[in-house]
Amino acid sequence: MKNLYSKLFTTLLALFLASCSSNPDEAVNNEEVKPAEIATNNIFYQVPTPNELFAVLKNSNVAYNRENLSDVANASNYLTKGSKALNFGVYTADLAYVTSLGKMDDASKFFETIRSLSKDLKIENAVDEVIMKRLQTNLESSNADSLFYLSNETYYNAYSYLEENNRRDVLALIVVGGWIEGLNIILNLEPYSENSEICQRIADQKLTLENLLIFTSTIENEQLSEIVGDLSGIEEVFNYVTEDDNKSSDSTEITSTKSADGVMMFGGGESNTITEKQFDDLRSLVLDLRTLIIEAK
Amino acid sequence: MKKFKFLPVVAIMLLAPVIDYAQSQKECYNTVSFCPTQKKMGFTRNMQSLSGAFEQGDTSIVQIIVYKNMEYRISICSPSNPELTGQFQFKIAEDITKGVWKESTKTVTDEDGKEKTETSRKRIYETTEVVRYDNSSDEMSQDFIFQSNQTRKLKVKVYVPESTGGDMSSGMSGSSYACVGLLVEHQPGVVSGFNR
Repeated sequence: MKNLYSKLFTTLLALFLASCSSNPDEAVNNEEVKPAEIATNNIFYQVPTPNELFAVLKNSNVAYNRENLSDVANASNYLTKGSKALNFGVYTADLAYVTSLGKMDDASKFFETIRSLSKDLKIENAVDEVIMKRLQTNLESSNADSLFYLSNETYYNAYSYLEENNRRDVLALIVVGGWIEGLNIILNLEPYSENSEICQRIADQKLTLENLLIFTSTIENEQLSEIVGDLSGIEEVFNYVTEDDNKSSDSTEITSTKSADGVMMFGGGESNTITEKQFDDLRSLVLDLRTLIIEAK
Repeated sequence: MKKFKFLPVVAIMLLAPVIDYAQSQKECYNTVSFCPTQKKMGFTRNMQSLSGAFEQGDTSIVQIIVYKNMEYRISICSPSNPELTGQFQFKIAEDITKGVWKESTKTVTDEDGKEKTETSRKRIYETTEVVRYDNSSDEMSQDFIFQSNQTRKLKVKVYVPESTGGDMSSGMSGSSYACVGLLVEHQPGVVSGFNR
């Protein structure tokens, strides 16, 4: 018994000391510092959703192409938790695309499919009765903006529920599935055209991918590790060294100016661009990865 | 045996901060959903929002990505600790990486034994942090609306002040943590101010 207590004490002491030393900067920095200078390990990396991406493109005369969407009939083929979660993400990205363009007929079948998958994944509140009723009302009144808002709420509900219940593995798979589908859709909207709105948004995904990789690196899940491993190829394409990199920097001066209506505009810095080769390579890689997901191979 | 009687008490004391922090995080998971939104102005809740248990005197950094031509609103709230309203300090900063050419010269000896100077150029990248906004220079405003002319990563640094005599633990599990919500909202960028 004595031995047991002794071991317990040693373990607890070790645990205590480990928790105290988790932030070495704090341990050694006893000087008085200004708030913003306080050393911290509390850094959170956030990833924009497909809804935000399509909100950006909403007023850009984006083409609607059903062929870019995943077939809802495939939903019954997904048998594992991993494939259900990845494809939940895929369908939520499709829903964001469909509702951003006000395609009422297609929206309802995606809501139904997401509702079915959310039951399988035990994310009961993602598409609940309230959302279904509001969906019906908005479909009847052809209220496209509200439909887009509802698709955002669906994603928000699922995200919050999974966070609350500490199911970050499922959450991460959903985020990855949605990110790949969102990128696949915009890669197939139009041919490459340097500095076009679409190509700039594709180039922007380099930044979202960086945060996505950091976010997923904190979560242990075998299927997630596999799919994140496949994302490294996409990261390589975004990081191709281009001729522009060897020219003198084309970034403009950093500015922050207030508009007449009081909104601050952050300006300057480097713009995100991609070359035609990057575009082609991305299209091929992303399509392969997306095929793996929707065919649940 | 007697001297080990105190061990369960010590165990509880040692584990308390760890359990408390975990408990605090769980209690705080959805704080941001209680932050006042600006749906009336057309803003939509953005999933880059964050809820968490923040310790007083603690700074957290949330890295978000803002898209070109979108308007964003950032606000902070702590419904469990209303005494903190108006006290949060936050900054929006950006890491700017610039590529510059650096020249270096060295003296070498050629095949004929003559000394000559060679100049080489090397591309190096330097990163500096630029503070885009600091609410301490804006009457401690607890919300901020902005747009960006291009897609960029921004760091939102949130500092929870020390409580001034008040009990930071109100609404929490007897700790010095406060549930804080960092609410991010977005809407398509407004060219003129007519819909505000």
